[in-house]
Amino acid sequence: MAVKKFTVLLMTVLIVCFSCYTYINSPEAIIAVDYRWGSRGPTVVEIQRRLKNWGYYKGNLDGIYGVKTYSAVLNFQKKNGLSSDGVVGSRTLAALGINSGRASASSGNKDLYLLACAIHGEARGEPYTGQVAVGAVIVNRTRNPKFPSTVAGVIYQPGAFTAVTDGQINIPPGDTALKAAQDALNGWDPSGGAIYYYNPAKTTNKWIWSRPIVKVIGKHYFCK
Amino acid sequence: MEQVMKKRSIYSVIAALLVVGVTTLSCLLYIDRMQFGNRLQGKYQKELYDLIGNIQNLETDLSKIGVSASNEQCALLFGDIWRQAGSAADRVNSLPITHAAISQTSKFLNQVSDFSYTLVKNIGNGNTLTAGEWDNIKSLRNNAAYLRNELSLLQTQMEDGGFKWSEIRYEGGRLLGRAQANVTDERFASIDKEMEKRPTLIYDGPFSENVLNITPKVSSEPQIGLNDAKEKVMDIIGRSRISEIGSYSSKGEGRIAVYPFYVVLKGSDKSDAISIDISKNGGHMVYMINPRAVGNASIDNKKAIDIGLKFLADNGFKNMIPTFSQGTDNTLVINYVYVDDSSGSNVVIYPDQIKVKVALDNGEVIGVEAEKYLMAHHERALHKAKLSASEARAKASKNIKITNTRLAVIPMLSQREVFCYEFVGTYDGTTYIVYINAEDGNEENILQIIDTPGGQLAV
Repeated sequence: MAVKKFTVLLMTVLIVCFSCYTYINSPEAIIAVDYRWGSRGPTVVEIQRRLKNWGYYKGNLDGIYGVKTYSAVLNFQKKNGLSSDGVVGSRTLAALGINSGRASASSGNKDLYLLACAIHGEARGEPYTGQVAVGAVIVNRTRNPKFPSTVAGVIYQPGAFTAVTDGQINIPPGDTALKAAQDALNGWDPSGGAIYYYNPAKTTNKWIWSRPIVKVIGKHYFCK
Repeated sequence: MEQVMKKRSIYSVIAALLVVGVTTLSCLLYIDRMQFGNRLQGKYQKELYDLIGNIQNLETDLSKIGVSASNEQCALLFGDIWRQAGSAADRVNSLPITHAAISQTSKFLNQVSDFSYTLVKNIGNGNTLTAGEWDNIKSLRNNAAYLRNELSLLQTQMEDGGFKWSEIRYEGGRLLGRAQANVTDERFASIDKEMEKRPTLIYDGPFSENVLNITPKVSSEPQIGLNDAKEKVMDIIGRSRISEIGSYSSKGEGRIAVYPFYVVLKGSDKSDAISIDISKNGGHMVYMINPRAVGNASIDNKKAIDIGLKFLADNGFKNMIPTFSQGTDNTLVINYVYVDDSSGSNVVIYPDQIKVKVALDNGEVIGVEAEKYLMAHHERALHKAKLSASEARAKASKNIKITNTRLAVIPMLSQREVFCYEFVGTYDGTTYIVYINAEDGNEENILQIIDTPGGQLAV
């Protein structure tokens, strides 16, 4: 009996070890959206536009994935060495040069999605105004000579945001974070021009405590 | 006996397996960590080398300017300083050093870059450097020389000491109490202190010291009390709709000093509370956010633009006109700007800008952004334009087919305001807006209107 128990224990330990290992090393899951017969929307228009430019597609840019789009996609896939199934998945999208059809593709602003990721990773669960304020701090930093001058530069500055260090920035943002990011980019700034914020319950950094506080929203202190 | 032997052999096999398994796992993890560490080390070393390169070039350029006789040569050198300092600022910010230890260095580099760009433009306009600018360049060169020296020293020490960037952020090291982790931070912090000693740069650029410390125009208005501000909020939202009102922040000391309020509407959840800031000076709405979900659109953009206009007029923002609107997710964000008619003709004042967000499901105003307006709005002493519209038109490109002309005040990056003719026109199917200075005919700015889904220019 003891042997059995021990074996079970050992197996569990080994399995846990190896699954931890594989988990830590596995790449982030990619959210894939497929476009197939019957799909509609702005991404389909974009697919049609590109196929038309390259002479695969002869129909209208109506945003409806019908028979003409289907055969154009098939032709495109055959000529480009993709598996020709008539479904526009992430590989075909990439071959067409379309950015997986997520928020970034439709908004026309490359910073929106990244900013939303940062807001989601840093401030989900905070009141909406607090989320906009976190986005505004990032935008304010791009306009301050003490910081990098781009949204990506600010967000990925080493050690600047815990969401980048612990990988939470890679979680796809929800609609709320996207909306908050849009507001922050449009100029809404509930933080009152702050360039720092911290959660007093979690911060031990003495330097940040010495900054003058300009706003308190939810759990975050915003400072100059 | 046999039973016991069997048991023992099973135990030893299991123990051996465990040892082998765990050893393999830790070896794999160690190799992984080392490779990641080496890659990071490589990336950061490269940044440091290139940073030192940038600073060296910067220092040389700043020295050369002292002995250059021609404006053309000066322009070239300032162009190079602009580039070198900009990329140095990028690099210093990508090193794994705490922000507190590099903020002044970053500010120095960004300001030098910005300052040089302004000088390139000045020289391009035919101006020569003033005595004050010469003095500034001289002391900036000293800063650059100091920075170059310190960074080279640090680099040599890093090579001799063999310590690694990747260990700086190694949490395990911190737990084990290895103090070495802070060496670079300390070095950069002492460099940063020195970099703070530099001339105060006042010039026509966004990072100029007078622009960074700009005073909002609204702060010259008389202060109001908390209760007056609360009354103001109730007027804006509508008394009959409010079920709860209070303060959402214990502080309100931002760019514009404010009383921050939250408002819960009758029949809606506390999580959907509206946030609204009222300026302590003058009691104006600074911003408003209503985070409620918006249903399917039932009103058109034209109606929404009128609703926004009426909302602004009702709340003390008069003489506004719409310039641009952008629709997303059943809402419409409209930019309004102030029109000044004091000089006899209508002048569009772009610095005095307010954004209004209208929900297209029922036409409710669910967002206002008036901070820029309150920062900039004041009585301007506008006079008649020196140039006539046709004289100004002659200064703009012949290629553009002009469809609309009006007078405007536009903000430059440095917040300086310029009185211009605004020409809206098309060329090759694309809409452009060209601004010609109404005083001296300079071409101040060209905007290209990029069509975005849901975007609409209202001219």
